[in-house]
Amino acid sequence: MRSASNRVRRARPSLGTFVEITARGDSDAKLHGAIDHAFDAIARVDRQMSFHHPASDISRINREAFQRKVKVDPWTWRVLRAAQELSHESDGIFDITVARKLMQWKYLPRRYRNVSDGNWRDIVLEKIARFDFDSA
Amino acid sequence: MTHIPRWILPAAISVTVPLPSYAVQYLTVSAAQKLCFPECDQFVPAHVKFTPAQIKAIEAKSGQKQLLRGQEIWRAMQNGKLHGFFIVDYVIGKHLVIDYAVALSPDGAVKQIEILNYRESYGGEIRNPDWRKQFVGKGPRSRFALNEGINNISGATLSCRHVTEGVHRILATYEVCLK
Repeated sequence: MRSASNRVRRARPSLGTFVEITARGDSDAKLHGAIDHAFDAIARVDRQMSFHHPASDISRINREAFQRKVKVDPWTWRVLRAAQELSHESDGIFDITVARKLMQWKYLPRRYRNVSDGNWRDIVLEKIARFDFDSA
Repeated sequence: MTHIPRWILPAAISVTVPLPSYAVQYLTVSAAQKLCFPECDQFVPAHVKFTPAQIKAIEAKSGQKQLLRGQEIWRAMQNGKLHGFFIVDYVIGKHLVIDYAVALSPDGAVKQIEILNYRESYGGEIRNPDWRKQFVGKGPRSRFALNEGINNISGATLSCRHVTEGVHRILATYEVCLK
């Protein structure tokens, strides 16, 4: 009944929608393991980059970054840096600070009041110098 | 395709509406049990048929309406030791029923959620003349806002919200029936 290449498809609620992941290969056990890892990665994105979760990097940035530096997950860092590049390339057509407008338009719940004007040019990304010994 | 047991169905829902729909079966109950509790060798049915008092308590704790008359619950065991609970639940997505499973640790923390069967009336909105009507007279300068001008919430967003509410109801069910 099983062909040489199996397909496993699973879905979980995440990112405010359903996330479906399909994997193809020979062993069902391996495919399920791979899908578990993929869902873990999706969960990390949801945990750190959700506008809705109060403890996410994005919520901490929205609450605190106008006053003080906020340290973020390396994945969040990469997304922020990519967003800056995209804003630069598109001359601000793409702008990651769009949440203020989305709240006005009611696409997002109004989590923050008295949000001042600003755009992607006001974001300052600072890389912390890290010094690691290789643990041999 | 799993079938919702008759004893679980609310008395009010007896007719199915033949909408143009699609369905995906992701996992069978037994496959999902093994994924959620790979170490377990036995899943002992411990299904619950709610008493009116339990329904009231679940509704009070979760703030959700309890439409089901019972819950399919399995105790996940390894060598006779309880590793957690495997619970199958049903919510209405946008129009149709979604089956999903919640794995709880023995102390009632959510371990895992897996969708078992997803059914949706695919593209139902677009075929619905009332839904299309909301765009009539909207020009490029009209305001398009969620819950204002256009009811533009997708089936998946709404269904996901219903699963989240369902999980809150399951946690209340744990408090009332399993703790």
